[in-house]
Amino acid sequence: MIYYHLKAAAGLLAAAFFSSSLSAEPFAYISNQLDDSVSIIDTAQNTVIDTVNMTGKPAGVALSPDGKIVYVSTPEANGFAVIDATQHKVLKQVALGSSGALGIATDKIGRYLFVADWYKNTVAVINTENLKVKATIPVGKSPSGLVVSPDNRWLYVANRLSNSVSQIDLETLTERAVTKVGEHPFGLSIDSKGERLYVANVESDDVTVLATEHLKKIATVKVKTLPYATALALNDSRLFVTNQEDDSVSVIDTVTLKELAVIEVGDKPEGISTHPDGRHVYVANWFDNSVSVIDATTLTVVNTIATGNGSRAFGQFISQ
Amino acid sequence: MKKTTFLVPVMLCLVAATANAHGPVRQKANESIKINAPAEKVWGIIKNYNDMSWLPAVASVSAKGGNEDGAVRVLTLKDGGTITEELKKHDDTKMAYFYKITEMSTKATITHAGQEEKVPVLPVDNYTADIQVKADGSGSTVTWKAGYYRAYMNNNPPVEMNEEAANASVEKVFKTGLANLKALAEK
Repeated sequence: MIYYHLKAAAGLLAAAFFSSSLSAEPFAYISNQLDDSVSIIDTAQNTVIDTVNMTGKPAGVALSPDGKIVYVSTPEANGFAVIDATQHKVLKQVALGSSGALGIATDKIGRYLFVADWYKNTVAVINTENLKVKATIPVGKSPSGLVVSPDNRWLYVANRLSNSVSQIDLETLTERAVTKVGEHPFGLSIDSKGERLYVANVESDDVTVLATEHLKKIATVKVKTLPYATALALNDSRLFVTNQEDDSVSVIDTVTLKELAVIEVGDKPEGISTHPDGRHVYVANWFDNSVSVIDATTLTVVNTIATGNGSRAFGQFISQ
Repeated sequence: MKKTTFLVPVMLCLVAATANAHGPVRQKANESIKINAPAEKVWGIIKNYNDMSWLPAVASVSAKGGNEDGAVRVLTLKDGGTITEELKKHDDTKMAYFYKITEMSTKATITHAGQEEKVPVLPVDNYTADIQVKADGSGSTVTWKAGYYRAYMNNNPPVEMNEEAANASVEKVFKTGLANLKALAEK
């Protein structure tokens, strides 16, 4: 990468290199739905360094694999916004023709962006090069959380009102399998080997653990009230689950598949993501307008960062 | 970087997008009041889930389950409507409880977009709230918070069931309730 840029003589490319080298630290992008903004947190300082104002009530967050673009679903603008992570500017707002845009994710190679449509029961596959819809895949009812397998072969979709998870083949862009999980699955995570899926079930107050092979159910782990989203930390040995109506995060040991701790965070925690150090877990607190930073080794909140009104940050919101 | 892709002016897209219909966004209410009475005294007035005599809009309560999780109370309002609420969590040490509306009677039936719509007595949907008393110097502070959606879950809500109607109704209940609680506690 550096070699390539040093070789490039054009001034523009040199400038691009300079600005991207400034943004080497991981950043957390927090959608503040009621404020119509995204707070950008520099995770080295744990402070908000900028706020991007926008329209459309931003909800879900996804990042391009290189961390240069932030995609934010904007249900009231019927689609998603494209934010330049270096310039902190909305580059484009793309309408998809439905106000159900919520869950959003990118693939591992920067080719596709996926946007789930809560009302149309579909996942839109968007070509990131031209931001055009390449395919619209029918899934279950009210699709919400989205996650892509590490090998970039599969997309998994939590279908909230169908109590199921869909497996989408990213080569054929069709649904390959569906499996039942708990009641009202919302957020989900996959481990770094692509072997296990963890699905938070909002209504049954538990997490369904699936083996990705044949989508077989391994366990159901009880957590607290209204589990919303999940994140893995410490080399996949711990699963963190936001309990929206318990103002807490449950910590599950992924070997014993038992809840081993409950950490109090802010009011109505929603989105959750793990820092690339594998140790710090960031939680967006919807009611409190803040982000709690959890140290996964000590299981304590080490920082609370003020953000904007209605922080949701549903998706993988930290640059890796 | 495929920067050129993004150099297209965005204003046209924005106008087109906002002109279209939209889906609901979760709303919040957050009211607190400082009371010149000890926290224990204030908590004593509100802690029993089956006692809503401190809330002016409520005429009577029928309840079962005491202060146990899962207890249910039905509030009959002075204007005749009913609201059914389930207790999700009651914490005497924190002086707080958390509850959810599970059912409401209809306040009015309106016609909107060619369909009959039932406006609930509190024009909200999927409503949860918590109320907490905290010691504050020699007095106390009571905070009442709620998260909810507007009553109309499809696009283009009628004015009776939009976000403004939801927010105004909840705010009114909270403000009058807290003011009355303060008056009772400071007696």
